[in-house]
Amino acid sequence: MLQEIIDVLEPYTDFPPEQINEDTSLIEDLELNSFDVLTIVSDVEDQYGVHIPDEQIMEFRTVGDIEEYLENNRE
Amino acid sequence: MKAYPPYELEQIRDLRHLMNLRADSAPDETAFFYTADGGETKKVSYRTFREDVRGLGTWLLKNGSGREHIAILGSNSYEWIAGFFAVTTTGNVAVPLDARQPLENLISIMQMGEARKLVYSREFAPLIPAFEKEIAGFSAFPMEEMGRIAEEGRALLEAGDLSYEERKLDPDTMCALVYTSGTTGIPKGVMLSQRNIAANINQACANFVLEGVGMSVLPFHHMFGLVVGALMVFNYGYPCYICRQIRNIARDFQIAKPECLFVVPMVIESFAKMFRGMGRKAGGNISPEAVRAFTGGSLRYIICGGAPLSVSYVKMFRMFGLEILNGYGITECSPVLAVNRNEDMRDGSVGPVLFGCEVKIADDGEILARGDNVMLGYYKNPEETEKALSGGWFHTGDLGRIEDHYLFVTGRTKNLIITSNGENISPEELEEKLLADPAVAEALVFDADGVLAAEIYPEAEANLPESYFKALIERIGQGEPAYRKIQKLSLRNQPFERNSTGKILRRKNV
Repeated sequence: MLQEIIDVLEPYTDFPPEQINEDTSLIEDLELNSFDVLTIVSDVEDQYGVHIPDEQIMEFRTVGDIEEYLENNRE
Repeated sequence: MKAYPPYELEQIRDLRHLMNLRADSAPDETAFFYTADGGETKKVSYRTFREDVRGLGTWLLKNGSGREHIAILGSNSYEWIAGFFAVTTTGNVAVPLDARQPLENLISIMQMGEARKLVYSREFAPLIPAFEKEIAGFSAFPMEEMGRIAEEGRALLEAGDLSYEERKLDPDTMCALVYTSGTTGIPKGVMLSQRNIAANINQACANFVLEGVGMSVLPFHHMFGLVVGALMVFNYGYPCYICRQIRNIARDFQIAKPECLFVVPMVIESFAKMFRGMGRKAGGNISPEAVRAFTGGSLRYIICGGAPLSVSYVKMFRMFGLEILNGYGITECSPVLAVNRNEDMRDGSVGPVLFGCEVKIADDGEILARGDNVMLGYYKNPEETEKALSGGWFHTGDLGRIEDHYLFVTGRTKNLIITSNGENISPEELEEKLLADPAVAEALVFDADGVLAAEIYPEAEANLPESYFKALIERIGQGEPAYRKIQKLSLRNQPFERNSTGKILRRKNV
């Protein structure tokens, strides 16, 4: 699943994709702004058929947070 | 420059006039469209819109005094707009609330603004008990019930209740009370009248012309999102696509196929990243065709306001065939004062001042404005009102200059650094110089114990040592008097904290 998330993230960041892992921070490492995070989540939702509420999105700090949420909530 | 006259549209007097003009001239054309929860596209004609507003308005007059302050809390939706029209065209006062504010702020704004009624969308239902507890005489209506309420109102109309039609609107009393978030201090309630809002729609439509779908992504509780993103589009007679959640913007581009988009700089910065990333994936640079496809195929203009945008984005997007038209406004001016025009633009400026609006630069550099779009004052705050409107001009608190006929915004008066020998320095001007260097992603300039200091967030990709940035500040200081030279430098490893419209929170970060 991590690789699939990295594929979604890749276009939004200049960070080398091969260095992205669970601990990579969305804001500090990938330098995403809040609008980036929202659109990325929208892509992820489409791929996994889940709906992630806005309040939850604001809790995501690392790539691993997104992965964990999807693992717990995917259909 | 050759004469470039204003675009000519019928001048509207108030929001009811605006609604009737469109509903009479093109009743079956699409006024608004959006993607519903189930994924289907819903279209609302001008006729249906007027019927909904009349129904809601009749119901409001039946069930209230017609002079109430009614707060609106919800993410962007057709119901939000219909509710706003129903409130403002019945003599009531709309109090738009920022949905991202914490509960205690929402309650305090309702208390300050003396609003006891609330129209809310269902995601805010859990907050209702807290409002009930804190606000005496509180009542609330979910937007999801608006269809039923409008129907009840229409039944009253059919039974001969003409209260809505007969209700006279005074152009010069408050119809909207908009609390400005500001980056500091307690919020102030900006009182806007029908004349204010109508004037700004007329003025903005004279400067810029739309020839296709307008896509609205900014929150309606901001006057930029509401007046420019929705009401201006409505006045042109083109469909307004309501992007209900900004996170769905990529999907919504394909549905709306907009000609014009209204955004804040953060959205543009995000697109720029996306385009660079898409180019990298394709093994080079993204083509104008790919950008065109991504944005729905018809996009020509992006109107950007709310915070300064670096010129580099304007140039980058131009290569894709997209013209970013920077504009400038402030809630107190309903909100627009200037915008680059379809055929008349200057990079780095916020464009020519709107037709019908006067702007001058005070001796101390502050931008002053006068015109029908300038607010009535701050609600129950005569002191601040007096300060803001002294001498018959609205004091924007922004610094600027007019060159040719283009307005340039150079900083905020309250950010001015006043040196010990009384010299004034606008930190934004120096920040702009730093930001012109591709290695600088973000920068703040501030006073540090009597000397000028800069904090820089470098572009990670550039991967440059501190000495590079030291040389940069020296270069910028060349030929400048000592008090304008940056003396201290620090680098940071994460972006500055920003507010919800994307402005860097100067005081929080320094």
